[in-house]
Amino acid sequence: MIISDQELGAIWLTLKLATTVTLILLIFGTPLAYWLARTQSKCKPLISVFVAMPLVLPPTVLGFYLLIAMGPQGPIGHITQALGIGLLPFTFWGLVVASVIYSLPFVVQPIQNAIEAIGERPFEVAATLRASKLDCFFNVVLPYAKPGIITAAILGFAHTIGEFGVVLMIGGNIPDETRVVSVQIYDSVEALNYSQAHALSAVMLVFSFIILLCAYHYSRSAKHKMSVGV
Amino acid sequence: MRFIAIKLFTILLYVVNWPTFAENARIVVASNFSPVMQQLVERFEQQHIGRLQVTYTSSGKAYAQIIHGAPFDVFLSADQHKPKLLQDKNLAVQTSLYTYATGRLVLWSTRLPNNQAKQALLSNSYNKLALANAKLAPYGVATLEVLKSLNLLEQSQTKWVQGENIGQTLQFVRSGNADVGFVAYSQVINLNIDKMQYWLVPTDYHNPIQQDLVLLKRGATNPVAKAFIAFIKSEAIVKLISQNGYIAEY
Repeated sequence: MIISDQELGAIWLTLKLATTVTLILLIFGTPLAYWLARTQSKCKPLISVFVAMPLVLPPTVLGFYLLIAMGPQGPIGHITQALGIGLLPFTFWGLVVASVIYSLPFVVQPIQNAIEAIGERPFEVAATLRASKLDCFFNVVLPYAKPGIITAAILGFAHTIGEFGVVLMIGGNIPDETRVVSVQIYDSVEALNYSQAHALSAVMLVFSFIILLCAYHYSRSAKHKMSVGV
Repeated sequence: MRFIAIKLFTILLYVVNWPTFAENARIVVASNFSPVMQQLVERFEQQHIGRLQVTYTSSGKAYAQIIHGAPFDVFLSADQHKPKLLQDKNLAVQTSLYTYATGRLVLWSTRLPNNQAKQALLSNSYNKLALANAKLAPYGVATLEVLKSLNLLEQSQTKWVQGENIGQTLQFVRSGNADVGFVAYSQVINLNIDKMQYWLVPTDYHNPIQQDLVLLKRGATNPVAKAFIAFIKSEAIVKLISQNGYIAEY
């Protein structure tokens, strides 16, 4: 198995993309999950649906709409052009925006579940201690929801690594900018370079196995710790 | 009782063998040919008893599926290489190779003023150039040859955005994300695009984009598959194909 420079470039780009997307999702997804878990608002079902949509939409649908929305005539395209950023399709940041949307439910839902599982009691205790909402978020929600947040980070990261349909639609196959591993594999299969496709696919397979093993192992040990009260 | 059992068994045999009784052929077609293929299917089924079950996919995927036993009778590829390989591997009927269409390229823009696409390409005044991936798509190979003929290969390279097939390349141009792009003549004809918006690339700028079909081993004895191949070679159909933006001569 020989991994060429081009393939190493694709692996590096994929890791960079997944890391960026995971960080952004943790920063914006955690407050969103907190809000969804605690709110009484009438908008909650609507927002929940928007968050869950990427779970059921085919990635090509998402990619196709993003291509149009981020294009020169699209609403996102108008905004990015007005801000002087230019157009997002065919750029690394275009992929980041798309992947954030695509992986959103994989990050928000585990965190939301973890916060819902905390129950009312800790929030009541915090309230009697006159903790502010912000205090409560950092000193109650985050420590209690930590296993959920770590699961969310792993899932968001892994899901972005496995992304294909969206990237294909808005990527444009540019080396070191938008040509990620899944696209590289697809190219190799289409070009009948089966040995190259095998090599990279094997890397992906092993990687996915290890990352999921870590996730399951972690969530088991976290549950164990919670139950013995460490 | 025994009589009924035998009867039931006979019915069961009919059901199991149903596909061979209801005559049909499975055709796998390169996606770039799909608009024309849809017209062909309609005409064929008006004139013949058999039915055509058509699958549209990329030639690379079709090839991978065929060598792993996919149940197709005829393969309409986007290139000449893959049908030839199938014949060499003895998965296709010898001497059944036939060039059913030769593609042409256009340089198209939805962003630039009329008749400016070529000028913009030559003067390097555009944001992105969309083209089909030359590793995968015959139209991509031809595009590189055109760029070479125009001496623009190096200059344009940093502005390339590559579609994995010619269909995706079309989306890049159509959505306006790329100012200019090389797409198939058949596509712009099919979309009724105004002639002012594209430049039809002269055929001497690149090698012909020849698309071959092949009768697969599974279809060797299928009368519908054979009838379809005779049909696609007929004068009326060759004319229809040439009206759809391909070069095809009877």
